[in-house]
Amino acid sequence: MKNQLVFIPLLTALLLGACTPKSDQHASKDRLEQAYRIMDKGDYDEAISQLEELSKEDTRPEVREALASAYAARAGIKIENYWGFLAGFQSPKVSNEQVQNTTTVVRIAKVLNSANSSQKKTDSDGQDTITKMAQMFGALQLWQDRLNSLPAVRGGARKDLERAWSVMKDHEKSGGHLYRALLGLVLLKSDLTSGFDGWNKIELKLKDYDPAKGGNLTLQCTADLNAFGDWSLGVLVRLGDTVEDISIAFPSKRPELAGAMKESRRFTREFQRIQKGACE
Amino acid sequence: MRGLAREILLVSIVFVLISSLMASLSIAATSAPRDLTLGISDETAKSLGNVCFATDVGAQAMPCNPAFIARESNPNFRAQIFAGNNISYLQDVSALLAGDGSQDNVHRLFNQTRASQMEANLEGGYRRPTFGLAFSPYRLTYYSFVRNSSLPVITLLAAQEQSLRAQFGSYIGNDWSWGVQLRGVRRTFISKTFTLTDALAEDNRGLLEPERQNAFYIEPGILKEWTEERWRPQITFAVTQFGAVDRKVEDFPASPQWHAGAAIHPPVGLGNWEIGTDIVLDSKTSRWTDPFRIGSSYELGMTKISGSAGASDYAFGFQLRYHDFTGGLTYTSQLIDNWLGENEWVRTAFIQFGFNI
Repeated sequence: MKNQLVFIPLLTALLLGACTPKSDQHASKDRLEQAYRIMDKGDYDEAISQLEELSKEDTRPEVREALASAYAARAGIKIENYWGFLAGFQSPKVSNEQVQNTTTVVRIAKVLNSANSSQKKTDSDGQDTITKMAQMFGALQLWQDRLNSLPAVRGGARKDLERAWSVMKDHEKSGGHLYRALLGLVLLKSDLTSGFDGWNKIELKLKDYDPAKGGNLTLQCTADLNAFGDWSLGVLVRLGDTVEDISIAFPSKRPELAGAMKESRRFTREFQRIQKGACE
Repeated sequence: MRGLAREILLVSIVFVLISSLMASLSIAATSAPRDLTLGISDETAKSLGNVCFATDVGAQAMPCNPAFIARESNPNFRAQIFAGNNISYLQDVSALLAGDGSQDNVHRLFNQTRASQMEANLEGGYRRPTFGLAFSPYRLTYYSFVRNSSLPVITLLAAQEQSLRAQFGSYIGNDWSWGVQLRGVRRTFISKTFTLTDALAEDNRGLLEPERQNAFYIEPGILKEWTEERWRPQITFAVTQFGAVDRKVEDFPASPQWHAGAAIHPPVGLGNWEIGTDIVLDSKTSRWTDPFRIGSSYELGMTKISGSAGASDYAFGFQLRYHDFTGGLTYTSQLIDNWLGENEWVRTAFIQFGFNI
């Protein structure tokens, strides 16, 4: 009887021990690991759904990184394809000389020279607009050349990448800023690609211009020109944010990035000033 | 009869509750396994697993169960070097570091389905009846696990340990022996989980900052033999990892393990044959089959073969002794549910060199 009575407190202790709930931190960590597993199985929709829920209760940076990476994976952007690019990222050198030597500016200069040599009347305002626009695209071409190995994304993939970029805003760690920089560079590449698509159409129009048929070489104040103005504003914001993210992750690169950013901003603002005046 | 039925019922209830308790304590396993962080790195412990607590065979510096030191017959000095790993990505890392890497190398590196680990140990020990002393200036362990191929998350554990252990034991009488092991451990380790971009960012110094932990353990053991019986059965009990640490670290908990084992020595015409079993319980035991292990060793002249099997793994070891020198190979194989939920066999090979004087 005595021996059996000993069992009672033992059983009670074991029962109470078995009922001990898992701590919140462990439970959240398990859900995060579960989300990683789902992502590695390729079910990004489910991973995003679970991580969106988790991020409402768990504000750890790891959860935001996981959510951003799930959106990026669904957009087809995985860091394994770009980590070499990221580790060795170099800012382009943006200066008057570099911009004047870009293919964009060189081509436009040839077109304008050809037009000037044959034209009776010169439209200096129109040509000035074209020149400033070409210089802006020349400065952006220096960035685009640096982003050669990155893809451009459109449609649903672009929306996912925008969400990922937004989730990673104001991240606490330098590594988080670096990842956001990669997302920003892919979005920048996408922005530049769509902008250059439009610019290439303008170049074609300018190349097709035949002075023998008369008329002035000028850019009309169409919605296209205003759209370029808005587009260039958006590119500047994206570029500025991304440059800041890279500078936080790689502080030693801040001076060169700041210099490139300053020059890029100058060329873009010069175009924006002229673009507004030309259409008033 | 009624009394016996009541006893059986009570034991059954206790067993079910213990199993439930163990199940409720299971934790998702993306951290280094306990048999790596707190285990014993020598040929006997790898080939026999926890059955080494029920037997005393092999060339290891000291017996796993300190009660066996009570029956040590002659003073002897032993030393060994032991190492092994199951790292599958060494070639990929070498290729990338040499600049010859391709996208395939990178893809394999960031899309692993299981953890990788390595351990190595250098130890020397002195044994004599009722007393033993062993010192290990280097026990190295390494564990890594990569998941989330979109933004790789890496869990890394690299540790270096120095340990000093002393065993005291004696006969109690009536073929009972007791022993206790006092063990001090000093650990220097890196234990971090980080993303690839954390490693690439410039201020990554803190990522690989080493930490330290000091631990002291008191590990008793008991042995009961039936030496007059033909098959010389024996039963053993032992407690390991019972002690204190100066700071709590998840990878190196001060969390006891309880061992209960038995062994027999079937008489054979040539050599010595031992068959043993051991049950081990600790806070990480999650399934009812986990605690049980059976093992056996056969020694003939300069050759010793040993092996063991548990619920989802098995091990096999071969040791050769030539004069005072020993050398051996151990092979372990474990069936796991890998990261993607698929069954995968993880195979590891260990080598060991040592000498006994």
